[in-house]
Order: sequence, then structure tokens, then C-alpha cells
Amino acid sequence: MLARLLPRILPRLTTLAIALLLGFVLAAHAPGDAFSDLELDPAISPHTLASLRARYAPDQPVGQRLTAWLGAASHGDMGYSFTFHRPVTTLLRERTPSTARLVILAWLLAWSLGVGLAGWAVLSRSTAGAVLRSSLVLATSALASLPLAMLAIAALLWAPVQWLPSLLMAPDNTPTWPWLPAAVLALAFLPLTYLQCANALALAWEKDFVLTALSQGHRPRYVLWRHAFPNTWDTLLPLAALTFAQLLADAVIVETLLNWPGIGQLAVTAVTEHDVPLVAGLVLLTSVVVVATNMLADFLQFLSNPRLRMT
Amino acid sequence: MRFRRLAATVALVWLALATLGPLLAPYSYRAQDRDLILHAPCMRCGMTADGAARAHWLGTDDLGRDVLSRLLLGTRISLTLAIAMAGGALAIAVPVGLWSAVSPAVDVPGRIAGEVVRGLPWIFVLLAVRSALPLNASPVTLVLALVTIFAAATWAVPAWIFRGTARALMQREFMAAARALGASRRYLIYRHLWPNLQPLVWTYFAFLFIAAALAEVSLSMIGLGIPEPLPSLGNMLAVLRNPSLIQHAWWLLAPLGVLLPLLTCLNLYAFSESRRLSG
Repeated sequence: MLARLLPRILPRLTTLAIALLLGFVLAAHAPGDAFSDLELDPAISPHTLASLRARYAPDQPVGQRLTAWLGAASHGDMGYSFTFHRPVTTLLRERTPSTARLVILAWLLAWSLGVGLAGWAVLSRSTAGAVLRSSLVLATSALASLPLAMLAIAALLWAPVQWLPSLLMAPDNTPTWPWLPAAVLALAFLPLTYLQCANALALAWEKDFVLTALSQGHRPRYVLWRHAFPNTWDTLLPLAALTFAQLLADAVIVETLLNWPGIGQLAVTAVTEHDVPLVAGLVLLTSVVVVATNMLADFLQFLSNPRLRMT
Repeated sequence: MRFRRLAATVALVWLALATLGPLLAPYSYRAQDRDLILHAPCMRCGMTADGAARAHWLGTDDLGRDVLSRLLLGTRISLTLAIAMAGGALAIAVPVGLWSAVSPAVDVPGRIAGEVVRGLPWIFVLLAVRSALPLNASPVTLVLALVTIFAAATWAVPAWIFRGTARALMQREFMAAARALGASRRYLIYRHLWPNLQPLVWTYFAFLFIAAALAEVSLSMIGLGIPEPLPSLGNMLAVLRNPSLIQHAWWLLAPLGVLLPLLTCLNLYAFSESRRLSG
């Protein structure tokens, strides 16, 4: 089993290393630093500035800074963010739950709606009218052509004010469930999940075992969910992991436009403010999450497909 | 099948618009009409100093620039950018996919590289690259960065699909016959695999084009797209970050009128083709 899983794990670890290197080197090469703005302040003497730089941004080669940063990061210390005046670890710990809620909710919504709609489309293939089916195709294509940002703006414009997440913050500043941003994200991914599920289910529906089960007198709905659906997992699981990564990326846009305080919003600020430790921390965090999701999908695929376990 | 002609027609019309449109534009994309800020579409919006009538068929934007003129040039810029982004991704995906089907020496590294690339958080990489470029980076630099990152981020999935289809083709009798006659791998690719894969490649070109056009809009929204004053469909829509503008100035939605019909037709084509080719 380990021999089968290892070739899959190694590329994932390489991904992690590359992401880390890319994030750190790029952020380190950015023009200016977190103290550039302070230079404009006449109240801060050049001496203070020099000592700040010596302490927080020592003039060393990137390689040395990277190893120092890695050493500290392994103890949970990812440096200090000068934009927010807090340790990066604290910032990430505060913001991650918001993004996790958003992405998990959107992921569940997009896939459950996609699977449900696809199941309905397969079952009603003979009964639903041609008009209804072709209008579903047209609606899917049109929805897939709308930019995510426009969906977010439409939500901002037409949703009742009470639905907007930033206004739903509890008094102690803990975020509630972000239904509206999650719905926007899920809607943007619905065409993808629906089409992939519909393709996979339609393929499984042609198989002999479905015909056998139907001729034994089982109800079509039972046959679909009990026999055809589990046979699509092998194709759908890697896709489900892939969409999770894409949702994490698109969350940056939705969080920025709908003002949801997650790591995506943090990333945009970090980049505009040249906050090197924060950018490096964010790239590390997101790539760990993406790699972990893919590994989980590999493992689930392994469990669901006996053919992979044979040799 | 039936969507292929529709998509091709619409794509050609839009390409013609992108090519000829800017030549027909009544104003410069950066000319400001400061008396007419956010003016509704009008045929006669007043007189210029020399007595000629001013017409803004699609109104003016928040800086008093003619929306029609910007839309015509923006269409050219956005379509060119999306074609370059999709083409860049295919320029990696097609050779990798085809060569990994015929040669194990490409297959293993190609697959590992694909796995590595699929796991990277690309938008964060793009953000990091943008921050590493100076704030006044030239549009050409930014476009090159966008094309490179998009190609690097998206080639893996199409390459994987091309490889699968090409490997299935390798099992067919005509391939066995060609190999028995001593055909080289290069000959197999050019003469047999590539012609058979073309419909699939076009389908993925459509998918990638759609993804690229949508990415441009979304990136412009968070200020990472084509820099002003150059117009693009994305940065023309970016003023709508202030959503109340939609209610007062609906004509600012005009870029969607260019984008939606084109992308919907391409989606119809790509969806129906991918279903036909996969099942």
C-alpha cells in the first residue's frame, strides 16, 4: 500500500517546497520593504529606521534569510507583520477559520447541488421535455460565462442588507457563517460540478450492472444512488480536490469584494504593503492546505477503488 | 456538433470587431470630456468649442471618457490577451501530452511536473509576482507575467487529457500497423496522433480561452489586471467595485455585452464537444 501511495506523495511534497521557495524569493525581491513608508515620516530618525531594518530585515542573502525563516517557522514563529503590527502566526490563526468556513461551505454547496441536479437530469432523461433540457444547457453555459467578480457585485447590489456577512459579525467579533459569499462561490462553480457529475453519471448509467439492477425491479432512483453514483467516485474525487484548491484561490476575489475577513483579503493587503513574512506565511499555509486536500483525495480514491489496492 | 458552427461564427465576428473596431472608434481611449462625467448614452450631448456635435453612443465613464471607444479597444486587448494565455497553456500541454503518450522518457517527468503544478496556490503566486514587480511596471511586462503564470498554472489538466486520448489511440489497429511498418515516434505524432486529437485540442482551447477571459476580469477587479489608462473588458468593469454605480450608470455594464455572448457560445460548444468526445 505504501509503495502505491509513495509515488503520489513525493510530487506533493515537491509542490510544497516550490511554493515555499517561490513565495519567499518573490516577496524578498519586491521593491521597497515594510519600512519604506516610514522613510517619509520626518518624526522617525534614519537611525531608528536603520536599527529597525537591522532587527527585522537584516541585509543578508535570500538563502540565509530563508533558512533562518524556516528554522523559526518550524517552531511556529513565522515572523512579524509590520502592516498589522502582529505576529504572522497570530494573524493566520485569526483569519484561517473565516476562509475555512467560506471555502468548505461553498464546496459542499457546489458539489451537493451539482450531484443532485445531475442525478435529476439522468433520471428524468426520458420524461423531461426537450425545451426544459436545452434551457438547462443554455443556463449552465451562461452561468459559466459570468465573471465571478460580477456575481459578487450582483450579490452586493441585490441581496438584502442583512445577508451581507460583515454586518453579521457578532459583538465579540467572531464571524458567523458566510452564506452569501459561499453562495456566490458555489454558483460560480455549479456549472463545473454539474457537468462533471452529469458526464460521470451518464457514463455509469450505460453500464451493464445498472441494466441488471433495473431488470431486477429496483427503482431507478435507488439504482442511481446505490450503484451508479459510487462508480463515479473514482473520477469525481480528484476533481473534488481540485475544485477545493480553485475555491481557495477564488475566495481571494470574493473575500475582497464582499469584505469577508479571511486570508484572501489578507493576501491582497500583504502584497500591496510588501509584507514579506506575511506573503511567505500565506503561501506556505495555502500550499499545505492544497497538498493535504489532494493527499486526502488520493487516499479516499484508494479506499473507494479496489483495483488500486490489488497490487 | 450543432454548436460548432455557432461558436465559430460568433468567434469570427468578435475577432473582426477586435481587429477593425479600434479603427472606427470616434474618440481616443484616453480623451476625457470633463463636462460630461458619467453621462448617459446620447447622440447629441452638446457642442465642442469648434461647434461640432459631441456624441457618446454608449455614454461616458467616471472620468468622462467615451465608453464605446474604450470598449472597442478593450475588446481587442482582452481578446488578444485571452488568446495568448490559452495559446501559451496549449503550447505546453500539446507537446507534453503527445510525447508522454509515445515515450516513457517524457511520460514520468511530465506526470510528476503536472502533479506538482496542480498543487500550487496560483493566485497567491500571481500576487507574489505582482508584488515583486515595481508599481509602475509597463503593461507589456504585466501581460507577459499574466501569460506565463496562466500557462504554467493550467497546462497540466489538458496535457493529462491529451495523453489519455493519445494512449487510447496507440492501441488502435492503424497505430499498430504504422509501428509495424517502422514509423518513427515523430512520424506517429505528426501523421496520426495530432490530426486525431485536433477536435479535443480545439475544445480545450475554448475552455482555456473562457478561463483566461474570466480571470482577466476577476484580476482587474482586485487591481491586478491590465493597468489604466489602457482599457480592457476587465478594468472597464472594475469601476463597478462601487456597486451603486450600476444603478446610476447602467451603460458601464457594456463590456458584459461583449463578453457574455462570446463566452456563452464557446461554453455551449466546449461542453457539447467534451461530452461527445468523452462518451
